[in-house]
Amino acid sequence: MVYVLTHGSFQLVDTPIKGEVLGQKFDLTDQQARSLIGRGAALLPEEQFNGIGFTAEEIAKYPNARRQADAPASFHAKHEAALTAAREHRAQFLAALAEENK
Amino acid sequence: MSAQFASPFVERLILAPQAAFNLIPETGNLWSNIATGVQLLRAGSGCKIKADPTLIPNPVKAGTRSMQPGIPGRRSNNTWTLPSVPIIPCGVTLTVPDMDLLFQAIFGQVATAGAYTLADGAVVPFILARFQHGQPTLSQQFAVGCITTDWSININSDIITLSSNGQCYWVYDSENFANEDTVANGGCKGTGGITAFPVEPTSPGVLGTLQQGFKGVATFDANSVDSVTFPLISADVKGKTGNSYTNDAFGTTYPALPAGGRRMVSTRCTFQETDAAALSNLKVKAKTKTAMNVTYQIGTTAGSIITISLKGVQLAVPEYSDEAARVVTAFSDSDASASTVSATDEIAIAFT
Repeated sequence: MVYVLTHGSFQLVDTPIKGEVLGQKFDLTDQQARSLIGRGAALLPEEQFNGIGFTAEEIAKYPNARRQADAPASFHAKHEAALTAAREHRAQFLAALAEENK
Repeated sequence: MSAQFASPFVERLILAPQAAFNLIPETGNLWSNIATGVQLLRAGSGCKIKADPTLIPNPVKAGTRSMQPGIPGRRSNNTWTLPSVPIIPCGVTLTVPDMDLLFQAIFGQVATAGAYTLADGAVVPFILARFQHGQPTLSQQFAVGCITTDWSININSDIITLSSNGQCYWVYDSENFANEDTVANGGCKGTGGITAFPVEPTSPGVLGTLQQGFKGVATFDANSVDSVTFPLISADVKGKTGNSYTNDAFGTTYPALPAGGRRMVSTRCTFQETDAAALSNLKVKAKTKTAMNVTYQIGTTAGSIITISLKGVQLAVPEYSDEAARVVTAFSDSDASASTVSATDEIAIAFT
């Protein structure tokens, strides 16, 4: 499944998978998604991320927290929505895992 | 063929949660190394894990002045140490770092929205494992029921670090696993426990990147330090959790239920000596023991900001010393205290 990074950075040790910038895409196996999302990586399924409505220009211009600090309010609103969606997705993801492990 | 050597750089340290100090989370009698909360710890050298049963000396007169062999005593001499572990924020606001369990063990509870506050009623145990990555024939260690007794955070160094140490319930070594006690005998092995030495997690995920430890803001009694009139040269925050295992329970050789005694939190801070009003204020209040709040905020980028808030700090009277071209004013260990009898707010740490 393809996930998109919404915030922060991460690394999947022993693999080339390394997330550093907003909008970066990753095709993750279930176990990789579990390892990253379970630990708090702010990843969102691609479809959901696309629904947030970031423009290509915004993604290129505000790749990380340092750059995002100077972004306009319109970007922050979308970014906040993406982060909230990633948190909600993580909660659902963990709930599904817990159900699976019952 | 020559022996496989160990290198300090191939070691991987793993933190993992426990529901109870004497239970290893297991699936099918194997440690659940992919469970939520199992985390690679990005740490440098110096981790030490040790479980050495005490030795009961033989008290019997043997007709000789020579020592006779003793017998193994209680398994109460189990310790762990993690020095200078970089505190790496995860890069996402209001979210705990990878080393979450180390902070939970200090504060006694999970964080709320990335903020750790003290709790009186619980001692949080965790698993600390040393795996020699990809070299299973070397000694691997698996410390169960680690509880924190002492900790310190070093501020204004190149990288902000947390050092902590404490006691463990027991430590499994890969060479000796076959000889360890079963659950029925107080161990964590066999029915209801694990049946094989734990295996290193594969491809663990880590969040965030190293941050400089000297960028940020500090306030003392509501006055912010600055680099012109009120320069802070060094600081640390340290504490004792008061946590300790009961080591004299009848019926077991292992430690029993951990308990929590008085906790202590203190800070040390050193300034370049100036005539700044903010520094003079600290000197005056150190003599009168007037309590004040102190805040250290390390980092300035959202998602990578660590804020340590201390309340009721009663500064020690400073000492002045020459240090190359400057004179420094050092306030040694100064205790923080709760703001009211119903509060446990002498320290809080927030990741924002």
